[in-house]
Formats: sequence, C-alpha cells, structure tokens
Amino acid sequence: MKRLIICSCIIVAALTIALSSLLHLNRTTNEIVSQLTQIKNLYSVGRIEESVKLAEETFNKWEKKSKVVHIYIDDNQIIPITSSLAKVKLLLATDTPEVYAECDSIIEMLIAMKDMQIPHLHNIL
Amino acid sequence: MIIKMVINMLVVVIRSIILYSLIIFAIRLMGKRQLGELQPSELVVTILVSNMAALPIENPNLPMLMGVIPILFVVSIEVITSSISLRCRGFRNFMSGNAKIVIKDGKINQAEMKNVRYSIDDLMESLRENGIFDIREVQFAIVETTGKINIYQKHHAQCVTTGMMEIEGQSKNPPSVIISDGEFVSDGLNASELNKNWVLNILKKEKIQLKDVFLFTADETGDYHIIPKE
Repeated sequence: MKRLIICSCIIVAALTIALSSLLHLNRTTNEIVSQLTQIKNLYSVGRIEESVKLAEETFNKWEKKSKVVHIYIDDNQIIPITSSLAKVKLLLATDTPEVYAECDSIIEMLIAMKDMQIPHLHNIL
Repeated sequence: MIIKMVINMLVVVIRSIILYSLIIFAIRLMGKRQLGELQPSELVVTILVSNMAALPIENPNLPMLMGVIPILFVVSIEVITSSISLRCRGFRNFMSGNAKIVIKDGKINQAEMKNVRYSIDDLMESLRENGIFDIREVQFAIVETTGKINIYQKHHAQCVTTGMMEIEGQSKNPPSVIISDGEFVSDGLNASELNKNWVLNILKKEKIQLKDVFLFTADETGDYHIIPKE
C-alpha cells in the first residue's frame, strides 16, 4: 500500500512538472516573441535607440529565463537563441537591415521549441 | 579547453552518481519481484530504465529531468500495473500470459509447443538444466510466463523421500543467521525465537568474543554452529 501511494505521488509530481514546464515555456516564448516583434516595429519606423534598449532588455530577460528553461530543454536549442539575441543587439547598434532576418529566425526557433513540447500527433509519432 | 573538459567530466560524474542512486531507489521501489524471474512487463521496464539512465550521462547537454522523470514515471506505472495484476486475473493474463503445459501424462503436446514457439532443442536443454537426460522420466512439464520450464517427474524417476519410506520424523525450521560479521542479526534472533543472553552464554562457553565471530547460526532447538573470523 505504501508503494502504491509513493508511486501515485510520483506520477502526480511528474505530470505537474511536465505541465508547469510547458506553461513556463509558453509564457517565456510568448514574451520574447512579442518583444522581438516590437523591436522590428521600432526599427522599421526609425526609432533605433529605443529598439537597441529593448533588445538589451530582451536579451537580459532571456538570459534570466533560460536558466529555468535549461532545466527541461536541451542546451542545443537554447544556445542558438542566446547567441542570435546577442547578435540582434549588435545589428541594431550598427543599423544593419539583417536585423529583420535575425529577429524572424529567433522567432521561428522559439516557436519550434515551444511546438516540440506540446504533445501533437506529429510530435509523438 | 582543458578546463571545459574537466567541468564536463565533473558534470558527467555527478550525474552518474545521481542516476545510480535513482536506479537503486527505482529497483527498491519495484520490490524483490524484479530481482527474480522477470515477467514480460518487468523485462521491458528493466531495459527501459537502463537506457533512459544512460541518456543524460552520455549527453551532458540533455537536462537531468529527461532521465529522472521518465525513469520514475515508468517504474511507478509498473508498480501500479503489478498491483492491478494482483487483484484482477484478466488483467494479469493480458500482461503476463498463462503458463502452458507442454508435456502431460508423459506425452509431448506438440501443438502447444508450436504455440509457445518452443523447439524440441529448447525443451531438451531445459530438461537437462533440471538434471533430466531421458524424456521418458517426465510426467508433466509446464512453460511458465517467464519462459522457464518446470518439471514433474514420473514416480519411478523421483528421488526417494522419507515419506515414501514411511520413516517418521519431525519437520523443523532451518537454522537462522544469529551473528553476522561480529554483529547480532535481529531478524535471525526473532525467527529462531532465541535471545541474546543465550547466545552470549554460548559464546562464553566456546571462549569466543562477539567481535571475533564471522558467522553464528542456530535453530529453535538450540543447535548452533560458529565460524570464527580468520
């Protein structure tokens, strides 16, 4: 009976961890994606300084959040996003139009990372 | 570069220790059944757990949770399904199957052997493992759900027992381990219904100290045996 109770608790804990990590990832990716979209909009209307400041904030936010994301996501998915976000700051500072492509690439990586964690049929199979 | 390698190795070492402890915990959680003959579901769990534990050790980029959560989840499912199997015969048959009789009344059931995909070579090998070299000695053979064969021999091939010779005697429990490596074993004392004072008196009589005893066994009747440390 004791074993059954322990196992039931383990199953509940595992499902709770899985669900909360999914919610955390969803929230994190949505925040970073919306900030990247804002960066692109600010850059397109010529507000370079504000876009650089926002890029700095986004990078710092991602660095903080990625410490938790790292607990449940493979490093090979996190590292490219971190390095691309660092590149965005530089591209904005040097006023390079490649910043749009870089932001889109990061957005795609974040969406792909999120989608891989949501149990669809194509993920499971 | 070297520092990165050393840090990576430290990560691998720490993960190995954590996962080793986790597997010990998982095996203990599944209980003694797992260490005996394996049912099909238990074999699956054993293979899965060992593979899942290797993943975070081989790849330090993978989060530890990718090993820990699946191991604990699979082991918990196994414990729960084995508890259900205990209570529900239909479920037990579905998970583990049924034992199959391949020899009955001294005759081989060839159709049943085909069903369990047991060749005659497999059968003869199993008989030899049971110390039987002549199939004519077998009255009854059953293939268990673990794949092991158990055999009941014909009367003329069975070992003679005191019951057959009508020799009277008394059944008694085997000796228990009372002292192991200089320390009392409480389970052994309880099983043999002896107390420490009696044991200490025996040791005094044999002129041996407790710390010098390698093994002390005794049964309920007080029949004891001592092996001193070398």
